[in-house]
Amino acid sequence: MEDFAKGILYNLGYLSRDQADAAQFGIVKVDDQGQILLYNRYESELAGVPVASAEGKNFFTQVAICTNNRLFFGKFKDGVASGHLDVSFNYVFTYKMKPTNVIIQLYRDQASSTNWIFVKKK
Amino acid sequence: MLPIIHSLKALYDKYRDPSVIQNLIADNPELTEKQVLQLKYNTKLKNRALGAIISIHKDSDIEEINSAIRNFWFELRTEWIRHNMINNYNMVMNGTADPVSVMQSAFISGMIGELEVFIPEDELEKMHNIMVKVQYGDI
Repeated sequence: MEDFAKGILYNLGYLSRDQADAAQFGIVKVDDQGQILLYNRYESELAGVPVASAEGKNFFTQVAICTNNRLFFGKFKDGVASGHLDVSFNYVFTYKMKPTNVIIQLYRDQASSTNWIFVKKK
Repeated sequence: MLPIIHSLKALYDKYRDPSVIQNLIADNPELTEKQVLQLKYNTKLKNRALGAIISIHKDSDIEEINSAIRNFWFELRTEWIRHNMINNYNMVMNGTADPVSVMQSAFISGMIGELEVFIPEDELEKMHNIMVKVQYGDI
């Protein structure tokens, strides 16, 4: 688990929008198919995508197009299928934005059965 | 000449302006002289393709022009997928990616966005859905 995300792990099942918006890294909560349930302010500003237009859409295929591959979406699918998702990796976003290097943490919270994508600009 | 050709010409002229590529380069002062030249050349080729479309279709009907725009969109989107895949494979494996490919990827995606202005939303959604499947290897 990446250090930047450790602080909120205890509370994921109860994370409020205000708490998510206060975080200094991107927080995206998605269902098992990747539909966005929560999209925090940091992520919105990083990607240049308004919260209202992101939530309800599929993160991998409609919002963050550059994640729609086996490197990213594939890891997510595998983790959801196995019930264990806790993986981090470097990534670069380039789709309709300035190239942005980030660290990604994919995580499934067992206690609340929720899926999370954490994004921190490098 | 149809108004859409004038709009495409305006886009072509915009990309001919050196400041477009200079802005991209300015964010990456670590690029070597050779990499800058490579990037300039590659982006010039993309704009040259747009110029050729304009030149060929200056007297075409709207169907032909629309077709050319959509073909170019697919071409750019496919190329962007390749760059994205290579860049992020290297990011995941090595923590770094070729800056020229990364910059080119960003440039291409910007051009994709500019072309989308000429495509109705419902049609664009269909095109996007095709490429989502292609991108994941799920077609």
